[in-house]
Amino acid sequence: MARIEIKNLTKKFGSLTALDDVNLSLEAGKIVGLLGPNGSGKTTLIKLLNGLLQPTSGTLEINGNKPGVKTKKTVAYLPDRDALPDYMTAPQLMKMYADFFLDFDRARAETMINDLGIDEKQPMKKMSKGTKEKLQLCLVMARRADVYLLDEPIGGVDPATRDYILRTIISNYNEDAVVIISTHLIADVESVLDDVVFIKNGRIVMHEGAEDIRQEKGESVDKLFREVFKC
Amino acid sequence: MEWNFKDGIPIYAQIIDEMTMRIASNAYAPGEKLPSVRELAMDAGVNPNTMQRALAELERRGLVYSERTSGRFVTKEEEVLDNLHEELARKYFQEFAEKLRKIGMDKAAIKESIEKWVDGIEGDNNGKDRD
Amino acid sequence: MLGKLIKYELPAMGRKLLPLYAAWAIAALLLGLTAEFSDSPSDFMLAISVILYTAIATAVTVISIVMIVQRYSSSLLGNEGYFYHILPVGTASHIGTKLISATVWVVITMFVAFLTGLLVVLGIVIAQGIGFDEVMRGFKLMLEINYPEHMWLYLGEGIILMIASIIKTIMQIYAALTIGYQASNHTTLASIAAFILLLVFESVVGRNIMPSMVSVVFSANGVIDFDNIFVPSILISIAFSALYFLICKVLLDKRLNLG
Repeated sequence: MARIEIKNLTKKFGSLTALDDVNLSLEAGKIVGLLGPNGSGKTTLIKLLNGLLQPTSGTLEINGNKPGVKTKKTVAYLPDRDALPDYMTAPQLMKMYADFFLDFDRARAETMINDLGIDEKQPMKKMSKGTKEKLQLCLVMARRADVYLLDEPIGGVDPATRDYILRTIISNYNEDAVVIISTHLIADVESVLDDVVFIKNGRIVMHEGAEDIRQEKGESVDKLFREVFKC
Repeated sequence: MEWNFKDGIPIYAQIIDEMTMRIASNAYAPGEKLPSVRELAMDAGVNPNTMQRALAELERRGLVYSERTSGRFVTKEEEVLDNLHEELARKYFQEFAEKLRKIGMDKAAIKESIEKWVDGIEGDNNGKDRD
Repeated sequence: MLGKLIKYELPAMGRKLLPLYAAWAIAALLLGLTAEFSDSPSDFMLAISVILYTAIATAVTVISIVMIVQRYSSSLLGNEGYFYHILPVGTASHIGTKLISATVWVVITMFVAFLTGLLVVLGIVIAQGIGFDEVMRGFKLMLEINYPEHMWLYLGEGIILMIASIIKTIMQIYAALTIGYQASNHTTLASIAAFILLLVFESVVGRNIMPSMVSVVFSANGVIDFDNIFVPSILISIAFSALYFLICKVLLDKRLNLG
C-alpha cells in the first residue's frame, strides 16, 4: 500500500506557483530522495505533508488520511530550520516528545545525543545553531515513525556528522517506513537512496529507482541531476 | 575493510563484486556468519534494500546460504569455493590478456612473456633464500 | 492532550512573571514603610518607592500583555509553529491551552496586585508598631459588619464576570492575531486593525442588545435588580469568547500557511 499518495497537488503563494499539479505515490520500505535546486518546491511539498501549509488544490494522503492529528502521530518531521523553543532544555524536550509521541524511544535519543557530543545540561539558548539542529535531528530520528520527512538533514553539517546522520537513517530503516530526504547535495546521499524524485520549478520531472538510473544510463544520480538541472 | 563505490555502476553489482572478493580472499572464512543486512548496509553506507538484493544474488550463486533463524553464512562447500577461485582467475587473465593484445602481443608472445616472468619470480625467491 | 500541553505552557508564560511578582511585593512593603516614616508627601524616599511600585506594576501589566500576544503568535503562527503544529494535537487544544494558561496568569497577576495592596498596609502597620492582636481585632470588626443579603452570591457572580471578561479579551486578542496573520504582509499592522475592528464590532452588537439588557437589570420601578446584574454580562462575554474561538479554530484549520 502506498504510504504517501499525492494527487494533482497545486500550491500557490499569491501569483507565485510553488507546486504545479504534482502527482506522487510513495511506498513503505523505501528511502526516497526529493532532489531539486533551492526554490524548486521541496520544502513546500514537505510542509504540505505536515499540514503546515494548505493546498490550493489537489489532495495529499498519508496512510489514507489527510494531514492532521492522526497523521502527525506517525510522521516524524525534521524542519529546514531550528524551531525548538529556546526556553526548554534537552531533557525537557525529550520528556515532551515522550509525552506526545508514543513511538518515541528515549534511550535511543540519549544514545544519539551522546554520540553527537551534545551537552544535555547546556540550556538551549547557549547552544550553537548547529548543535540545536543536531538535537532536533536526535529527537526526530529517535521516533519509530511510519513516515520520516527530513528537510535538508545534511545541509551545513561537518562530514563526520553527515556520515553519522546517513548511518542513522540506514539503521533506522524498516520495511514499514518511508523516509523522504530532501536535499540538493546529491552526491552525499545517493548511495542511501532507493528512489529519486527530481523536482524542478514545482513540477516532478522524474521518479525512478536510483539503481535503475545507474544501470540504464550508466551514470550516477549526481551526474544525471547536473544534466537535468543544467543552468 | 573499506567500501569504495564507483559512479555510474549499479551499487548492488559493486557490492556483489566486493563480497565475492572478500569470500575468495578469506576475509570472510568458509562457514563464517556474515553481519546482518543492516550492519553491512551501515558499514558500506548504502541502502539496506540494495544490500539485501546483493546478498540474495550471492545466495543464488551459492556463495552464501541462510539459516532461517540465525542469519547468513559463507558457504563451506569446497567445490563452490574452488569454482570461485577458478572463475576469478579466468576473469583476471582475460583482463590481463586484453591489455597485452592491445599492445600488440599475440598468443605465443604472451605465453613466452608469462613463462619468463614466472621464472623471474622463482629466481627472486631463490635469491632471498640464499641470504 | 490539553492537560499535557498546559503542563508545558504554564511555566513558559510564568518564567518571566514570577521574578517580577517578588520584586513587586518588596516594592509594596517598601512603599508601606516609607509612607509611614516620611513626614511630607514630597519626601525623597517616598517618591522613590512610589515610582518603583508604579514602574513594576506597569512592567507586570505590559509583560503580561506581551506574553499573551507572543506565546500565541510565536507558537501557532510563527517559527515555533514548526514545533507545536507537529504535535498530534488538534487546533482547539492548542488555542485552549494558550487561553487557559493566559487566563491563569492574568488572574494570578490580579491576585498578586491585591496582595501588594495588603503589603502596603502591612508596611504601615509595621512602621506604626501596631501589635498583632490589634490587627486581629480590626479583622473581627470587619467581619461583624452587616452585609447585604446574598453578598457572597453577588461576589461570586462578580468574580465569574471578571474571569469571563478576561477570557473574552484574551480571545479577542487571539482572534485579531489570527485574522491579521491572513494578510500577506504587514501582519502586525493587520492584527492591530483587526483588533480595532473587533472592538467596533463588539460595541455595535452591545449597543443593539443594551436596551434589552437595561430592561433586565432594572425592574419596572427603576430599582437595580441585583439578581440580574451580572448574569447577562457573563452570558455575553461567553458568547463573544465562543465566537472568537471559532474564528481562530477555523482559520488555523483551513488557512494555516506557516512562512
